[in-house]
Amino acid sequence: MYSKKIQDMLASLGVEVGDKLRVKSKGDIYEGILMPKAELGDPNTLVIKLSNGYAVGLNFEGAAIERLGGHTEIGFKSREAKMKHVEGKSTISILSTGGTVASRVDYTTGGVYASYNASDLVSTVPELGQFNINSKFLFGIMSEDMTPEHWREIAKGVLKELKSDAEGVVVTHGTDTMHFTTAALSFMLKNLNKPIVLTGSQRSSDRGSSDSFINLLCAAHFASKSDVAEVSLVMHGSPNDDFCYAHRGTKVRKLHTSKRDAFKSVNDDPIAKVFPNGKIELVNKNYRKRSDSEVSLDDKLEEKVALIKVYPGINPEIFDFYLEKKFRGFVIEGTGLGHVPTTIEKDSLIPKIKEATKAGIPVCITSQCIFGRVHEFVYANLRKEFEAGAIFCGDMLPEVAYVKLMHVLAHSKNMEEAKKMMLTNIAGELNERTPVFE
Amino acid sequence: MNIKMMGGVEIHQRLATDEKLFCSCSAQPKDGKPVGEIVRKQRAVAGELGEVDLAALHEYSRDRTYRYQIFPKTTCLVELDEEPPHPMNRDALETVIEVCLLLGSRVVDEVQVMRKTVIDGSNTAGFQRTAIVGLGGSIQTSKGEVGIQTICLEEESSGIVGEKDGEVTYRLDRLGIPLIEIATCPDVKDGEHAREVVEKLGNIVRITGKVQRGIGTIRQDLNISISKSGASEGARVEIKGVQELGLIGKIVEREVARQAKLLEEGKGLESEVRRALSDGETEYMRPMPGSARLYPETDVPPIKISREWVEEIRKKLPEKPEDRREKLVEELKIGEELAKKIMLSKNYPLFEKVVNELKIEPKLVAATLEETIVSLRREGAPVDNLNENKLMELFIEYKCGKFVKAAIPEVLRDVSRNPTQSISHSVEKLKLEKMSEAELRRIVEEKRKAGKSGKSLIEEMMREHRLRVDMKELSALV
Ligand SMILES: [Zn+2]
Repeated sequence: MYSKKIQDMLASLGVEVGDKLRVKSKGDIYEGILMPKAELGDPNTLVIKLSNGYAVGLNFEGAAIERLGGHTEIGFKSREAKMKHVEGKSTISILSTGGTVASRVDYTTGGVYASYNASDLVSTVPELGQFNINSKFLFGIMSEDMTPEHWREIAKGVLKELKSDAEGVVVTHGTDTMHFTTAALSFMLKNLNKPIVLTGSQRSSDRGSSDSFINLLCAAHFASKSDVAEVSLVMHGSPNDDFCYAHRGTKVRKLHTSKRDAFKSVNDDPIAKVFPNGKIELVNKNYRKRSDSEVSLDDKLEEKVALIKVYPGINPEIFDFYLEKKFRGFVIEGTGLGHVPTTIEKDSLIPKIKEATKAGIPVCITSQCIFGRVHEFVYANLRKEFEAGAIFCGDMLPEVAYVKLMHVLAHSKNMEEAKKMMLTNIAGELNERTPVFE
Repeated sequence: MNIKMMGGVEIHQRLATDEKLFCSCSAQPKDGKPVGEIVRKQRAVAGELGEVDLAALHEYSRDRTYRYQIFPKTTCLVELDEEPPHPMNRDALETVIEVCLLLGSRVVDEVQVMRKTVIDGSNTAGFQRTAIVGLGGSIQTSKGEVGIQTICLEEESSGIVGEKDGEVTYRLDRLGIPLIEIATCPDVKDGEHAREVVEKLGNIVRITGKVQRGIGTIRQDLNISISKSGASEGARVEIKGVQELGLIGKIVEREVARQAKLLEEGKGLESEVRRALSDGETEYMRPMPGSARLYPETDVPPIKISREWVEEIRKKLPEKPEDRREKLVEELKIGEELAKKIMLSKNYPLFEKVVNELKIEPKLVAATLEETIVSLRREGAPVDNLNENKLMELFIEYKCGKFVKAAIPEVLRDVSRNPTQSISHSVEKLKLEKMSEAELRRIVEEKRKAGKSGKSLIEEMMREHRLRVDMKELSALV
């Protein structure tokens, strides 16, 4: 944003962002389009885009501004195109929810808007023309802003598409919390009959080097022709533009902030390798197959669940806050095999675990190691935790345990039932056996 | 037909910063084997007006696969386009501001980094980061003033390794090295003039002492259009990648002739990009990119250039090349030839320091830095070990009278091979300590007794003790 001073000055001259201006600054003359001010940078500096395409910042102090006439509309305008279905082509549905994959730069301002819709994506990936596409725009938000309410909306949208003629459903999504959404959909959608594939990108689609093209194409292939009637997540399998992995929605996590192959299967093999040309190589034969089963939606969630990470120096009093606020469940990301501070009395979380459990509030234990399973018996301290009532969640990911506990608490009458459900595999989130990875 | 040429030149020079422009990788690539590679595709994306950029489309139509070679100290996730850029390198920006001031350009108040679409694969991101730092300014030439259009700071592209079966291989070690780009106004009159302008601009950037040296560190592009007897201007043709200064005149003249021929034949002139070949010919590369190629790089915050910073830089500004040359020849009495070598050398700051602080004869300092070391390198001595500290040590010991001029090559050769050894240790080891006055007297006395005198005595002394005797002292004594 420009400073108040600049804004007032522009208003008094009737100048708007996008107008062509002549700026006289220290005896020099600059001509170009007035750009909006990015969040970063000095608010007292005018940014002018010159005719050669470059932008420069000029001190506003002492500058004389003159309007030249001519105005450039700033901001991206989406073009909704209705796509005709062609007989003989496989039909898929693409639901757009926002995120980097749906982001499009405004070439004037450089601002990135999550405003791309599915048909815009098709125009960037012509290979998608081999499919008939039902495209729906659900919403356009970045994934850090996703809430359980959005999961419900996506689940409803997906259910509708599952009941259509589509072979499978692709959901484009921001990457940061995509694995929360895949977990939520995995628990909310019952008796799946077709593939549901979430995909996104780490580089926005306006870049020639974006990973979105291949991710989207592989997701479309996987939705269209794979036999995997589960919620999966399809993203780059390597730093190369060669193939994607289809990960099980409850066994995947974002493990890098910026790399293309940020998503990895955790404590499980990916389900398949998917290539841009449509080839699918199964890696893991353990999956739910396509069928004619009747899909149903059960989107009840108890949202008062907290996910708490253990660290040296954690103050047990933070549990008091949640208990006072009437939270109904805890997922703890313990250290190592699922430890919490135990031995030193004033630091111990054991009394809090006891207190919660006594009040019928489940305390579930996962590990911040991410890889591996927790264990309640290896050390005496773990046994104390277990005896206090903590529920050790095997090889379940912390994020998945968090989403599952929301689901479980909305579907259980008491602690005992909740515990039983947490420890029962519902959607591939729990493996009894840990495969050996390469 | 009266053909008028409109020409402009662009020079691209790598800056000698420690780190790259947008990451902390070394900006000084060393030869070596790649340790890995990644394989990528790129495609044309909609440009500013929602249309795919013409140049981008042209490249995409070739549907190529790009292989990028990874090198240990010069490739990180930023070069791989797997991590966002870090803030812009301040040293690089400071050098560009320095050049702006030397050229009399207006330095912008806030640098806005842009993305310039490139889809030949030479940048893993699909665009090059570039920013205008200065506008305007000029240089004086034998054919009048040549205006400066823009001075940009940008990223170097990846180096091409080869192209085979639709696959292009690039090396990432040079991607992201800071590059200064200076573009002139179309004031260039002919081929000879283009060469002069390129040379003058090259001297300006080199005098900062902060640019890389050697093959490939500087490149020229030429912009040429012609008009016929005052009629409307023809199409602008850009010739990329001229490496050899000597070819510039030839390339310009051939291009003018090529365009004139097309006009004569009544064929329209196309605005296009051509590639310079090593024989002075050019070949078609791609259509001229449209203006849709630039949009803001929002991952890099704009950089404020305060007036105080500019004034700070102005205070430390080196003299202009002409002025420095005059000072060396007229004031310091260094011959033309040697002055030419030292004035734009990376050793110039050391030269200045030694001359000013130690008051050693400028000619000796320049010759040591620009000639002795070069000939030692030629004979295979590892002279890269002779860093600034070592050379300073050499001059200090010389000033203290530890050894004589003639011993310098011997000492430097030895120290380059044993870089942990001190200069004085090397002198003692080689028995090259300057002969004391008493010893000199004693030996001269002996020679006199043996019947030698005058010129023949000096000659014999120099034959036997050249590396230890100061010629001036000896002549005075004799
Ligand atoms: Zn790097």
